[in-house]
Parts: sequence; C-alpha cells; structure tokens
Amino acid sequence: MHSALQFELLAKCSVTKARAANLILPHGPVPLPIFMPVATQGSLKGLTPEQLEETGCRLCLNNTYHLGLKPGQETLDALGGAHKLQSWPHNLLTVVTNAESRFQMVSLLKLAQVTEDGVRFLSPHDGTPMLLTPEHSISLQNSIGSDIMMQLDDVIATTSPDLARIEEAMWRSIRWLDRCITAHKKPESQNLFCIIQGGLDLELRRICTEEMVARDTPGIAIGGLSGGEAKDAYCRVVDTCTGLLPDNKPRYVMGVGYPEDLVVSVALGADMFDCVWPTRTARFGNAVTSAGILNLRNAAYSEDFSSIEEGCTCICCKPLSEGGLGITRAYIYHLAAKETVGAHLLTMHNVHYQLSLMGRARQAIMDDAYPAFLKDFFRRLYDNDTSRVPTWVVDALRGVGVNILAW
Amino acid sequence: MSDPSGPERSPDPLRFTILAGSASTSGPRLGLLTHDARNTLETPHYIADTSRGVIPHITQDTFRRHTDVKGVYVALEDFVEKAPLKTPPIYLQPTTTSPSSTLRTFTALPDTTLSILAPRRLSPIPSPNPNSSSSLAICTSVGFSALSIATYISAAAPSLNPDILVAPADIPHGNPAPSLKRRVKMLDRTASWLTDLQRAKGRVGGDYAVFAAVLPLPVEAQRWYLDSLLDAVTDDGHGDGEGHALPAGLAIYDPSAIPALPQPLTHLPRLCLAPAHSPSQLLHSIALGADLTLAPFLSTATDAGIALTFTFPAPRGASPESKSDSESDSQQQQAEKHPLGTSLWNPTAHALSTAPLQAGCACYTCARHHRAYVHHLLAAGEMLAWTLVQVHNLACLEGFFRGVRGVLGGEGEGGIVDGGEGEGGMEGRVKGRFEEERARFEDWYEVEMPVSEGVRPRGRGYMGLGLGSADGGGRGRGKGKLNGGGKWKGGGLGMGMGMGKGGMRRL
Repeated sequence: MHSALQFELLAKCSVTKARAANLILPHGPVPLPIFMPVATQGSLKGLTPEQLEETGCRLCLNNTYHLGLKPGQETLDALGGAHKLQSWPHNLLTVVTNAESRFQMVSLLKLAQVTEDGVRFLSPHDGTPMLLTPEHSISLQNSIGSDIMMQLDDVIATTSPDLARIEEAMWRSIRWLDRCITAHKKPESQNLFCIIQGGLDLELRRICTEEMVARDTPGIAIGGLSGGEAKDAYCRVVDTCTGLLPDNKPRYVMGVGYPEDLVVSVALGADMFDCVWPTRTARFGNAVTSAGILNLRNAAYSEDFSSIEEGCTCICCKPLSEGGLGITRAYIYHLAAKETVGAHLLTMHNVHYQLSLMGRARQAIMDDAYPAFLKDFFRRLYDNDTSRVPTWVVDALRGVGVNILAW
Repeated sequence: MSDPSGPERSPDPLRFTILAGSASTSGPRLGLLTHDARNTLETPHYIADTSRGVIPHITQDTFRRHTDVKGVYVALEDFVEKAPLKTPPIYLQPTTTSPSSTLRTFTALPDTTLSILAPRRLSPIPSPNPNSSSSLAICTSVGFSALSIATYISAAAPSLNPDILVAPADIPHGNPAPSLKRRVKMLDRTASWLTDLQRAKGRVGGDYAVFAAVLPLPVEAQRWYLDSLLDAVTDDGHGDGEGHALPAGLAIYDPSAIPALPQPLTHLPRLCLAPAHSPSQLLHSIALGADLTLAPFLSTATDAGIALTFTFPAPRGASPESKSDSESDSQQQQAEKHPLGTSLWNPTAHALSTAPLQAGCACYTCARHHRAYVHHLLAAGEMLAWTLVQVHNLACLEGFFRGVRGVLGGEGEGGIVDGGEGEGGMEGRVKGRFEEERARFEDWYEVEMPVSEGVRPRGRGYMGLGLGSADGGGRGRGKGKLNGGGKWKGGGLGMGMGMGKGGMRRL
C-alpha cells in the first residue's frame, strides 16, 4: 500500500537483532530506535510543546479516542488537525486507544463491548456511548492528521486464558485492518500501521504476522503486550514477530516503557516504543535515572543537593553555568506533590532520560557495540551486582547472543 | 563611614531614585529601583508572588524564557516545615551565586531577578495561635507552627541573603480591628524586632536591604513607631554605632497610610503588601504612591481559566461591539462596561477560536497558541492549560504596569522626566493625567473578574490545606467541586493532575 514515510536502515548489530535507522515522516526525520512520550489529550502533562521539543522529542503520541471526545472531530476539522490544535510542528502518532486503557475498560469498568462492527465505549466522562468502528477510527485519525495512525484492533488481555477468544480477536484484527486500509483517505500523507495480535501464543502470532506483512502497511506494530504478562513470555512474542518481519519497515512495540524493557526489546529487533509510565511516575515524584528509580518524595532527598542525575543533559539537571536550571533533588523534594511545577520538572527529566537512552543505544548500534552497551546499562542499573539482573533479561539476551552476566 | 564594632559597611547594593512625582507629597510617582547585581526595576512595578519558590504553574525555564518578571516575593513559611527540630534544607544549599544566596540557588532563581523574602505569604492563612513577643505564627505545609524572630533574622544572613528582607511585623491576621491594647503590642514588637534585625545586620553583615513594616493601622496610631525609624537619620544617614540604620524601604500593609507618612520616610521605596483583588485596587495603591505591588488576583484568575485582557490606559473610542451597533447611543455605551478578562472555559466563545488570548499580545501563549487549545486543555483537565494562561496573565500585568509608567512618565505629553522645569505645575499635570486615565479605566472596565464556569486545579500544598487563604481566593478542592457543576469530579481531574491520592487512577 501507499506509504508516506521513508525507512533508512543505517546499521544492524552483528550480535543481537538490534537496528539503527532513520524514519523520515511527513513532519521530519526521527532516529530509531526511539521512545515516544504519550500526550494523550494533546499535551504532555504540563509541558509546553517547546519544552517537549527541548527534551529531544520529535514524535509523540496522541490518543484518537480521547481527542475524538475532546475536542471532538468537528473541532479538529475546523482547526485543521491535531498539529494545529497543539501547535506541534513535529510528528504525531495516534493510537486508537492505548492497550492499557482498553484493558482497564474491559476488565475494570465494563465500558467496552466488542462486536464485528467495532468497539462500543461509554465515555468515562459522561457515559455517552461511542461506537468505534475501523472506519470511524480512521476517519478520526484522518481528521487528526497524525503522521502515523494505528489500525483499530481487537485487544485481549494477554493474561486471558480463553485461547479461542484470543484467536477470534486476532482474525478480527486482520479483517479490521482491511477495513481500515479501505477507509483510509490520506495514504499519501498519513502512514497506517497494522498491529499484530495473537496473545502469547507464538503460533497465532506467526499466522498474524504473515497476514499483516502481506498487507504491506508502511510500518508494523506488535500489540496486545505489556498487559501484565510475564516478561519472558513478552520477550518470546517480540522475538518471534521480529524474526518474521521484513528488514525495511519500522517495528513498533506498543505500551512498553521501562528502561530495561526498552534496551532488551531493541536487542530483540524492535525500533519504536511508547509508554505513559515515565511521565506518570514523574507526577508521583519518581525520577528515572541510570541507577534506577529515585522516589524524590522520600525525606532522604530533602538535603540532597545533587542534580537529579549526575551528568544528565536535561534542562533541569544541567548546571546554570551550562545553560541549565541546576535543579537539585532537594528542591524537587520540596515541591513534590505541593506544586505542579515539581511534576513538570521531573516530567522533562524523565522524558529526556528515555529519549537519550534510545539515542545512546542507537549510537552503540552504529558503532556495533550494542552488547557492550547492554552490559554497561545493566551494570549501572544493578550497581555491579549480577545477582540482581532478572532471569528474563538474562534469558532474552542469551537468546540473541549476549551473556549479560559476563561483565 | 568606618564602624569599628562591626564588619565594614559597603554601600547598599539597592538604590531608589524618584524620577517623576514628588517625594515630599503623596501621589503616584515614577522611580527606578536599581541593584548592583540585579535587574533595574522601573517603578511602579509588579512583583510576582511565589509558592514554595515558584510562580504557580511556571517552571524555571518558562520563567526565564517567557516571562518578564523582574522581582519575586518569597515567604519563608514555605521552607521551614520541620524547623526548629530540623534545619530547613534551604539553609544548607551550597551556593556559588554572588552575593551568595542559598534562596536563589535552591529555588533556581535567575541571577538577575530581584528576590524579596518575607516571613509569611501575601495572603497568609490565619493561625489559631497568636504571634508571641519573640515569634510569628506561621502556616507550613505540615501545619501551623511558630517562626522565632531570631531564626528569621539569622536565616537572612549569611545563608538566604535575599535582595530585600521584609522586617517581621506583628500583624494579627484574621483580626482586622485589633484592640487598643493589641495595637500597642503590635507597635512594641514590630519596633523591637526591627531593632533586633538592624543590629544583627550590623553585626553579621549581609547584602540584603531591610524594608521596615508600616502596619495596617492609621498612621496616627503608629506615629511613635514610624518616628523611631528616623532616630538613626540624625547621625550620618547610616545610623548609629549600634547598627541602627534607616531602613532601605517600607513594606506597607495598607496603602492608605502612605499620604500620612513622616516626611523623612517618603523618599524610601514602598512595597505594597495589601493583597489587590483587581487592577483597580492596584491603581488605587499606585495613586497613593506605591512603588512595588503584588497582585494575587493574577493567579486566582489563572486558576479559574480566565485570560486577563485589560490594558492601561483603557482603550479609547467605541468598542468593536458598539461600533457594529450603529444606533447605540452614547449613554448606552457608557453604561456598557468591558470585562477584565475572558473565561476560556466558555465553549461557544472559544472552542473553535484560533485567536490569541488577547488581541495584539506578544506573549508566548498568544504567539504560539490559540484559545481553542487552551479551552481544550481546560476541558480535558490538562495542567498545561494553567501554565499557558499564567504566562499570558503575567504578560498582561506587565503591560498594564508599562502603561501606568507611560502615563506617569508623561508619554504623549512631551515627557516629564527630561522636562527639567519640574515644580508643581508639570507634576500636577501628570498626576492629573494619571487620575484621568484611572477614572477612564474604571469607567471602561467592570469591577469584578468575570465568572468562570470551570473547575480550578486541585489545591495542594499551602492551598490544599482546606483552609482557604485569607483573600478567599483559595484553590481548594472543595471550591473546584462547587464550581464544577458535576462535570469533572475529583477523580476525573485527577487524571490530568494526578499527583496526590486521587491521581493514582490509571489512564
């Protein structure tokens, strides 16, 4: 099918399946691998688009379902799309509903009903029903004008024991992709990505991957994951899917965001990731650093006048002498949960961390030094203690030729 | 000049010059507040109110990039939760600023921004405990507490070292009409605390300038206290050997005291600490001779989703609406007042509007964004809404003060500043012009802020104590619900705001 992107594969790791590439989208190029922060409702949790830009972000997420409710399709059409709504000159990717919210709706709120027609939601705001068909989801995304749009898929929690339902959802997702492709009005300016389903069943994933690849969308997503499944099962699915995917297309694993998940998934051959976790956890006072998560609401930090992370180049951590703000852990502690500015500062740091982590991974892949990068990453994260490296990491990396314990 | 009993006194880094308007008479005046290391403030000027060291919603990088704030007001009660049991971390902050100021480093305040430290917030939450002869009742984020005067004074130097230190004043917050006995106590304590402060400064040094309190009492009632401020001047203008110096400025809690101030105090810069609830109250203070003022209505408007749109001088001629209405007679025009701002919650007015928040405004929000976005962010409960509105409102207020200074500087009158011929005639004319414009402003604009249909950001910290601030502009959760019309319950807003318990909800 028609594509509005160019994918330039720059380097492949000679040991693992990691890849470095340039993805040239309608609103500019982005480097792969990449982490994409989630601006669900058209803003990234208190950050101005300018501040988001400054973290290095050139591709962020919006949520089709949320923007469809507010500000609504009419407004989006009148304004000329979501880029204009939020004055964001860079790329946008729209998920229809992120998997996480769908699971929540399915399992907790009983708000979603799936039929062959589509998914029926009740608005969490006022209970108004909204039928999201593949056609409607595409029409909304055409109004949004996202550079990458996602197909409507039938997501089942990977933890579901109902294999028949999982298989049904997989086949339905394929049928819905066909409907999405037909409904897509702007293939020359917007890229539609398919989403591979099939739960944790590798055979279903294989079938689905084959079907999806045959439809030749500009990019390919692996969906339905990060819904609470075991990490080793997650890794097997990603590994299986990437093994069947063509080299010349971007691969997006949806809903993934912990730093260790990112670097392992890159080793397994994935290129793109999104997650609300780094920004949400910032609002709880948690800083993401290469030594792990620091909860800056802990009184231990009240007199810690070091930067959030030593050597970090985000605007908060950089010293005044280098044009940064010189924000200290003690000051974040002082603000945490009392002034939203504290959350905004940490959000900038966390997003910057994730983006720069992917930037360093990319450089390592280009230098063909990704295994060494992985070792260094886990050594810092677990303070040189090999016994703390989780088994799933050891196994997953061993599967792609890296013995992470040998540092 | 030399003072054998203390460190050598360097010339005060803070200086104030009156450019237009008279030092000897009351009335509006134009001045320059200069500081060796900071921005020069043309007065009258606006000082931004902070909460825990930040202007609400404005991160330090946004502050640098998109505001023109030249001075901030910081309350020590925001930083001393566990004192005296535990030394407040802000005292311990290593610093490399010059002059060394832990306050500046801790709060990441730019080097050029003038800092003003006071014991309490501008609209302090009244404490159930009274002040004592040696301490102020304060409200910290963990509850009511007492701040000893000795602690406040010793915090000022060498650690915090603000540019301006507001001397502690014994004001019984929540009691607007203290008894005669209480008044005597207020004066006694305020005077003796000031002496303590002056002595300490003489002993320890410190680059801060002391602003002495003018209490919210009739001037006659505090005459002897105000006269006592002058005791020192009889010497050499720098005070006696005990370090008893003339204060560098006055912190005025009720601007109506200004006209009756003793003559020798009139050349001092005046920081007005009466919380202004509207621009016309600001004009009132300025008309009496305030040089620096705070405007708590700014954040109140921001939290209500109201973009301020007033200008000074008020627009001339017919408003756009009445222009199109050709048959409107002049009387009707006069009766029709204009709003001070616009509530961005209003969907019919703003949902599709790509107009800036205020026509012709050059602030970041107006230059890069439009009303439709801010309206969407408010409706979606996204925190960025309040950031964008706050950036604009700060710019609107800066413009207002620029306008005030323009009128006082005789803009469009040939200019009084360089006029030289001075004397009553010219000054009278400027004062007259200011009064004229002030009257026109009040004719043109409504008195009250427009009503907002929406909910405010969830109260947290000082405002989240559920007590409401003294000015009634609290951003409490309760208020949000009251105004919310059931559209967004606490949890719904929590999705956007999620910092506290309610924010645990997953997206």
